[in-house]
Amino acid sequence: MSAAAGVFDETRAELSAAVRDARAAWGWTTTLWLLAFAAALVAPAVLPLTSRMPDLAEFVYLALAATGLAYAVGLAGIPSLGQGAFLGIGAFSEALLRTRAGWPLLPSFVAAVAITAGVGVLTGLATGRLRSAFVAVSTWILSWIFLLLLTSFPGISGGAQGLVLPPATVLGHALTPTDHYVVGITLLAVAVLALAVIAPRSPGLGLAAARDQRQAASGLGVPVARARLGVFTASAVIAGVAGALTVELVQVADASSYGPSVSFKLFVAVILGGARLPLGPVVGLLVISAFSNAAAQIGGLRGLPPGRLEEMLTGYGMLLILGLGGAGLLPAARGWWRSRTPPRHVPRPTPPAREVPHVEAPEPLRARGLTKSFGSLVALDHVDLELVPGRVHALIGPNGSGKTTALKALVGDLVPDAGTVRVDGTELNGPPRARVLQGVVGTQQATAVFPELTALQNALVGAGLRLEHEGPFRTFLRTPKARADERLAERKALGALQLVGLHDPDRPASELTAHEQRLLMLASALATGPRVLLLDEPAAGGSAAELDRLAELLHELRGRGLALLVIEHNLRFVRRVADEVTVLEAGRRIASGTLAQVASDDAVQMAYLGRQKLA
Amino acid sequence: MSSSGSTVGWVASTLAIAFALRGMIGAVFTRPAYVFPDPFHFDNVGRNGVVTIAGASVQVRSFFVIGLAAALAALAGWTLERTRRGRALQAISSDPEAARFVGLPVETLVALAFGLVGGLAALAAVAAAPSAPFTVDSGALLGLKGLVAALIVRFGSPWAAFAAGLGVGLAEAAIDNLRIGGFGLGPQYGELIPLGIAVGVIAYRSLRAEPVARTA
Repeated sequence: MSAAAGVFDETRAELSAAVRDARAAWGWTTTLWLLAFAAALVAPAVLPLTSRMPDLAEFVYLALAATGLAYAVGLAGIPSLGQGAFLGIGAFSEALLRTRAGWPLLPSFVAAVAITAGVGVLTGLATGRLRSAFVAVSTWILSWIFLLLLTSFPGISGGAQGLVLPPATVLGHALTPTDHYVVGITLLAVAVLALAVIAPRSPGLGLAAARDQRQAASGLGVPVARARLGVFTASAVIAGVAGALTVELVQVADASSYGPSVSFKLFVAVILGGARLPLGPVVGLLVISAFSNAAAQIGGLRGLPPGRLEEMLTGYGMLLILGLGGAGLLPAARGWWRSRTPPRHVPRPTPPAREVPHVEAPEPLRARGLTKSFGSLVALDHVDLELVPGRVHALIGPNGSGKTTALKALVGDLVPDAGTVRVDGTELNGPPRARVLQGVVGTQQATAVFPELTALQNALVGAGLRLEHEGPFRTFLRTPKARADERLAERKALGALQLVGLHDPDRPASELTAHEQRLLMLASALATGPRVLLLDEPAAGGSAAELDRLAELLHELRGRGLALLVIEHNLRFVRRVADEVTVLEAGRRIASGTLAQVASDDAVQMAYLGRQKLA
Repeated sequence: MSSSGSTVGWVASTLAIAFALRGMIGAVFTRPAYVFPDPFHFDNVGRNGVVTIAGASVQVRSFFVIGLAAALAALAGWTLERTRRGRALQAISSDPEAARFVGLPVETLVALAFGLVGGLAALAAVAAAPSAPFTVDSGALLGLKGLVAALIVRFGSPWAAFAAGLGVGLAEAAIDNLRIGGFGLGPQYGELIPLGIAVGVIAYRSLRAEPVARTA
């Protein structure tokens, strides 16, 4: 009894916490959303729409496919031109299972969606590592292959008249167009809501980070390949659902309704409305439908084949949007609205300044015999390095001496030809994510912040690393654990920002100065909770006052038990912060010790420092 | 700035232009298909423009088309490798930011490249048009095959793309017509298989490639 009561109490506490959170996050936009959804649901019962219902339901399904495409294009920046094919795969799988195999509606539907998911996974795997231009071309070819496959094999596609489906019934109930409309609106609302919920949270932020700076995102432990494959598959699955349901609605699967021109239309809808806003694709599709109506009227007057003018007008509309800056209609409208209304300041509790805790299990990092050649150029030649907790180790040397190559080998950005890197007795030889999880994280030489995210969101990309309940499904369902994880991540991120001295978490990263952007990279790295921190030229571009602050920060991090490696050209700064120095020349370690010891070394003076006095 | 973001923009604009132009052509040329007369009267050569080589009947036109294509590929290759503007275009292709940084007029050169591509496509269309009835959609499929050929050689040199294009065409013709021991695939596979091979090549390269994030 008491156990049951405990569970009951716990559930009640969680529920009231959820209600509290929901009320805190409730705004007039939420109310508006709910009202719009309710209005769309009751519209067929109130308005005289019965004769238009099939068209409306078909539009809603197409909008669902467009929203699915926004997952790939907007969230992850994958320019997929294959959505028409995925829509068609869903549709024809459903049609073939229903007509040829004689399956009932529901099992066919599940199988059709599973088939589309399978093709989506294969396509995602096949294009995952390509540059985006190649992704666009290969998905475009996929759209054509699908169309040619159907037109070349009338045996599969039913030829010119298509495949005619038996009437759709679910549990003895015959589905009407209105039923389809209600199902479509509900699915569309869920897809839009999921996009809205996921985009600004950990899974969405990781994708946005990889979209803008793939290498930097991977360096902070974002599982880039897996996340992109997941979002591409989700995009295909949504198209499969829309395709299978459309074919049940119109009762016929017709090859000419899928393929390249549908892919084009959906892609245009997403760009036209705004790929980064959840409702963008729906707005874009509405505009295109207005175009097609206008085009049909004009074309009818001139006696043109249907569809011809539609594509032309769609093309011109898209060019207009791209010419006006390319963000899409909805973002433009939002920008205009925001410029008219004063910004609402959201008070944010300031975290205690020293949130970044001491390193719990400080461990030295030992690199032995690191070697890397690029062709005949030996970039690293048997380099040993030891980074000790609570000490700052500076890596110096002339340009091209292998400093950055060494850092890349330590963080896993490149695989050395020989040599080992160990922390805590375990050898690190995986990609960056595995090393970040072990507590080894580096920052990039060039400023590589995520320009379209705010400072806080940048830091959250790092803070999302160790969260266990931050998958896309938990995030969307807002489970208690996901919400607790989110609060923890936000505390970590704010703490890291506070520590590096960035006090406006809501500023877009693109508005920060070059030095502030370097600090932001440092904050994102700190938010991953590292034991070993590797910084590539953190002082570059800083003023004297900024360097004072940076030196203080490095001392503070050292005091917390971090092992630090700093690659630096500014020797005055090195003298202030470094406990130990290693000098590289032509990929070889030519000296190490304190700066004074190194400075008096003949080889060092010969190689590099002769030109600049050290101490 | 963001590489993928700008690619999305490029993809969107080129497709938009393509569809806008195609729609415009369709609005002006309203017949289902057009037959173009041959400006070079190849039908006077051989037997009604057909010669027999090793038992095979070949249109004389095809030699002209192949020759013209080879000449254009050579010209494009020479332009890219040997002229200042061509090398500047290659620089832009490998790193647009760096090209801009060293003072190349990137926008002008990209516009020039599009102009050249358009001109080459127009010549190809004029050369190919008399072979068969031309429809508004002929261009899309022809362009797609060109894209496939260029993709197979990774948008490398024009010569390689020319060779790949010939290969795609040969494969298509062979699949359409060849029957070995009573077994032949038939014309319905002719357009599909080259596309399928292209997708296979892309997938193979993608899976073999180092993850983008790990290349220096």
